[in-house]
Amino acid sequence: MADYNDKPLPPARNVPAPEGWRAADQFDPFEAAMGPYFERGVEGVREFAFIIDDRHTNAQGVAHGGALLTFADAALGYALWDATDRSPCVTIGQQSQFVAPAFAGDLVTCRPEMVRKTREIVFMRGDFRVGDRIVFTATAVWRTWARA
Amino acid sequence: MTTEARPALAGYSEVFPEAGFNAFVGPVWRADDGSHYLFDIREVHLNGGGTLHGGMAMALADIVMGRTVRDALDGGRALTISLSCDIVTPAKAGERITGRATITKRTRTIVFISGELKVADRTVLTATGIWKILGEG
Repeated sequence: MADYNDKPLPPARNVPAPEGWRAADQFDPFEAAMGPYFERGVEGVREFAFIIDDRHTNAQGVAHGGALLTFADAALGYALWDATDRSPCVTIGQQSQFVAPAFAGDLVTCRPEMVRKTREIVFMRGDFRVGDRIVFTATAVWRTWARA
Repeated sequence: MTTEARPALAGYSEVFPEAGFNAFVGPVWRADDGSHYLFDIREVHLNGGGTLHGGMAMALADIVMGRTVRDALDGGRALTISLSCDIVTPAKAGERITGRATITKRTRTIVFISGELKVADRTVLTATGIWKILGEG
């Protein structure tokens, strides 16, 4: 497992955090390019969010699948880190459903769940909402390594 | 540094370069015959481990498969409703990805499709997806 960047990167754009949220540290250049992503603690776990802007849409102003796929990968990865004391990990599979459109200006939120952790594999899932409406769901399988 | 996209070969054009996500992460190059797509990995596309970010890899699969669906619809539009990706091997900045997609079946309302991203002969990602064809108006 290669060394992982452990220094937070500045987000590509300065987007003010919505009330009650703060910017989450970002360690992946591509997430910083899509960021900021936001976090808040709810009932002892972290919830994550981002605001859809012109970097995240298609020509019709609807959230691009790629922006949701990337945020999902980031959110599930953050939650996996929270559950494993930041074990090194990589996504090996993600199954994603685009349930409803999301639009520029929408705040997309997720409280990911860890379904099961074994020594080498972690199963994650998450529902992604705009308000109370689910717009996207994902399940994912991650490969993880014990910390050196 | 591989921060700049390399120019595409003759015989390719950019996929939806006008605005939004594709403009921000691209270019994604489509062969004029629609047979395949090219994407050069730059520093901005990486994760903290220095390899292609899983989200970007899945996004590229979505773009390649979505454009292939659109090509088959003769001007019609469709939306991704399901995308299942296996991320098989890492890829690095400076590597050029070739993407291909094959439609498994098309019904009146649904397109089933599979896709693959490779660097030379090395498979980076495999995917299957379901697209919903949008009705008239």
